[in-house]
Amino acid sequence: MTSAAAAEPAGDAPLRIAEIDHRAIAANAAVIAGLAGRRGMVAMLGANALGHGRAEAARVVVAAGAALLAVPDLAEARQLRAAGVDAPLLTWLHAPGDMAEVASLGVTPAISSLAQYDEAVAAGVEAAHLVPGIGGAQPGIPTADWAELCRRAGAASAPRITGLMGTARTTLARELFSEATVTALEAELPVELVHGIDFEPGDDFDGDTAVRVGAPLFGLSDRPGAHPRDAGLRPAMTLKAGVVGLKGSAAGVGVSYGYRYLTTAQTTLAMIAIGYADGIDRAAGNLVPVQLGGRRFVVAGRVAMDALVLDVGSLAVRPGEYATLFGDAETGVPHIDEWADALGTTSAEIVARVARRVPRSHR
Amino acid sequence: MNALREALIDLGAIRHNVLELSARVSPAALMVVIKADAYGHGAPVIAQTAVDAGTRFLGTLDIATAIGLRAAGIGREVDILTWQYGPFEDFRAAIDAGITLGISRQSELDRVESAASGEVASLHLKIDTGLNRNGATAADWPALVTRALALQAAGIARVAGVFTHIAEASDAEDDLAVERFRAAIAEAEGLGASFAVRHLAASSAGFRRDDVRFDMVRMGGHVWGIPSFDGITPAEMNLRPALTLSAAITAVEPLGEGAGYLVEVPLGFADGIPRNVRSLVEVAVGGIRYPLVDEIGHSSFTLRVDAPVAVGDRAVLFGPGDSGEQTVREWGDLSGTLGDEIVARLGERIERRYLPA
Repeated sequence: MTSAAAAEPAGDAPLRIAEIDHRAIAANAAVIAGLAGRRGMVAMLGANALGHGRAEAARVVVAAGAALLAVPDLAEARQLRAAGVDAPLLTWLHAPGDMAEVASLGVTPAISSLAQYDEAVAAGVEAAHLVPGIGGAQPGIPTADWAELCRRAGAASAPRITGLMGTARTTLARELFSEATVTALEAELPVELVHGIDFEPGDDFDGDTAVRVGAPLFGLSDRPGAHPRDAGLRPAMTLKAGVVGLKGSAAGVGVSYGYRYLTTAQTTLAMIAIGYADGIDRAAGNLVPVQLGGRRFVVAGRVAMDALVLDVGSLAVRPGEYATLFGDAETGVPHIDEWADALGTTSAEIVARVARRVPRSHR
Repeated sequence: MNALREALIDLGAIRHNVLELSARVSPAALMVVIKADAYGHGAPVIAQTAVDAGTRFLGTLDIATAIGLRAAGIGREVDILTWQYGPFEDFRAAIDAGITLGISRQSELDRVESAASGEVASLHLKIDTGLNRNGATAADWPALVTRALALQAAGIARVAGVFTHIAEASDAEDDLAVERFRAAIAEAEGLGASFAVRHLAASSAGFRRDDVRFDMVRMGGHVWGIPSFDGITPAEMNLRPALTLSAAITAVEPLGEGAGYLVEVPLGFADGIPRNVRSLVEVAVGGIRYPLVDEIGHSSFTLRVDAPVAVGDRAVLFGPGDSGEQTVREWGDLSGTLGDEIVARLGERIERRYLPA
């Protein structure tokens, strides 16, 4: 049976694997582009594209029409450039002294203070976005200084102000961002990309000329309780780990640290080689589903540092067989949204924390 | 240097903790367990620091890490133990590098035998005493021991040790595990085994109970100064937290007269800062702690700070607690987990820097 064969790793297959599906990223980018309409797309690929691989993700979203790629800081920008990605690139977390390298890498910085603006001018940065202060999630240029900075930037030859960035999560912040946008346009800044929110499907982005999107590209959400699949988005990561031990057990036996799970019948316990050092929430025990041998089981007892246990009853399991923690729900495996709901957090956090020691494979 | 995100690891604290814990568990030996990249502290550096402080036993979980330590210069006078393997993983390289293999099942002895190349494989046999993860069941134990002794007689292996993991559900449960461990040892000795190193306890029980230490105690968290049990501070245990997590502030927005400053700290959930600590912990700037405002993003969060602050100033999330910051133990307590989990999940964007011992 081919599906069983595929579930079994060959000789030196990794104990843990995160499979990245480029078709899912491309399909998600197409869904976002459809929602964006005539607005441009700013694709956020920070934190190694939330663990999906920044260079691979960059190629997919550029092909899907992203106008601009965004990574938080120069370290990630440098890595993208080194990987041969020469698409326009935005960064927004800067230390004093960063602007010289910003200029040499040809990166567009999002500027959040007058001092940073002066540094960008001195370094000869060609284009920049501005971050107006709107309170809350992202500090920016104080309202009191905004009009003056826009006037100065309009009069200067460089950097050209080609965009405005905000992270508005409240109605008040949206209003402040809109007012700042009006002021910038009145100063005749050559603004093309106005992106005031971390966009997710269903958001109202009136006034924005671009959708800045991160987690949804990977079928994920940054918001507790959100279900991106309802908008037609597909998770791009499937996380698997191998069975490293099987053990017959009587009923009434405690499992893993603290004995927080008790077997209820004579059963088989399968030890799976993935734990909290791999990024699996230690609190996931007795909460989240894992698929093994075509069936679903809730993790039995505490997640340990390097392992978790499934109580698989009478299911025939072979050592080495892969369990799937989450992945493409079309194939029947648990959906990342189920994990997010069970853990009371976001799918973006769960996936972003899958550790580097879990190797990635791309298709 | 002013790294954007930095984990500063004080090797002096590691050395102090190794010496302190070694004295505590003496005459039992201390094994320093450096799995998961020494819980994010950096396995090779921590291993060398522990060895320099007198440790003769390291635990790495997997073979690749163990061989990496040998390649980094940890010599054979130091015993390195592994105990989790791929189902088809070849043991030859581990045996050639003098790595001690933890053995839970017959299929692993098959691989010891098929990897035989003249070098004698050092084995620690593992018995399950109730945790129900790795280790042979009591029913499988005699056959495992008998087979290992046969490999010893054939000059392929040396049965050097016996071990188990305990659940730490309660002292009574652990007492039962100790009893099962003693019974398994007695049974193996009856079959002709003689174990130089018997080990059962990890950080928590090994610190508290002198009746569970046998010949060796395995510790991770305590070595980095993170207490593994409730109601006690590192200082009360005479341990020093080794890791200080900080970041250079990337933006400051004055909020107006007397309203303070909104401050951007470039660490987010993608760096391993749990989203759920947002309303639970505080972050120190200039020696004073401030609460977080708004959600923790993937790459940053914000604070509201009273005192004047500049871009590039450092925000300290946790550390030894000497400069107003919280300890990672407090972060764990406040968010319902272990400090171990938080440091083990610190991401790759955070630069590690070391203060010499």
